Amino acid sequence: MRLASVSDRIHAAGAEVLAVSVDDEVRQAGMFARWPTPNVRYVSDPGGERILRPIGLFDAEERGGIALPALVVLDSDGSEVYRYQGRDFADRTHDDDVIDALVALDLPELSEPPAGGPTGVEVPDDLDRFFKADHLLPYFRGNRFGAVAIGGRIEDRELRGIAREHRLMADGILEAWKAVTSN
Amino acid sequence: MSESTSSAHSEILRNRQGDGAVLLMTYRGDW
Repeated sequence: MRLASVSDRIHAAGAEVLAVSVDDEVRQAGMFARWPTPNVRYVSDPGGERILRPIGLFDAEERGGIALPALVVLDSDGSEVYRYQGRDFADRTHDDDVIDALVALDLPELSEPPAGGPTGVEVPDDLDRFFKADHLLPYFRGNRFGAVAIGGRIEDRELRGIAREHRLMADGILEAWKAVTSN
Repeated sequence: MSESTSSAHSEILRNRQGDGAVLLMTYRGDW
């Protein structure tokens, strides 16, 4: 979501966003249809064989094998120039760090925003167990207030910093959601 | 870089639409 809110900056730096998970194409098509991420291309990598395992971003132990959350920048020749691997699903790097890595490549701006996808994939009405867009605000507001409450109870400076990080993460998502949905 | 990593990078580039850079986000999946 946060990346979608800075898509103009990403495209201006000559880059496009690919989102990779082990989900099948139908589930990804549902996600693409549900979320305001019109320029993100979702890529299915079941079992992590083609992408996730070879680049070391696969957790074989959880839920039968899923992606580790990370952001990676590849230059136009496919060389990795930036990587941030989150400690967990809630840990994402600061957007400016990613944008800086893209700008440093000094590439021309994309001539037009990339079309996201997958499209043309039928999503069944009874697709279950997915995160609904309506739930995003209460989910991250809950995260935010939980982090504030826990931060207030902790005396250890380092641990309080972790609670603060979590609050800032939730704030970032809430701000991004506001920006993306007001367009 | 190993052959499998190089192959994965090629696979990533194959999925882009243009010829620019790629910002790859890996995520745990919808649930």
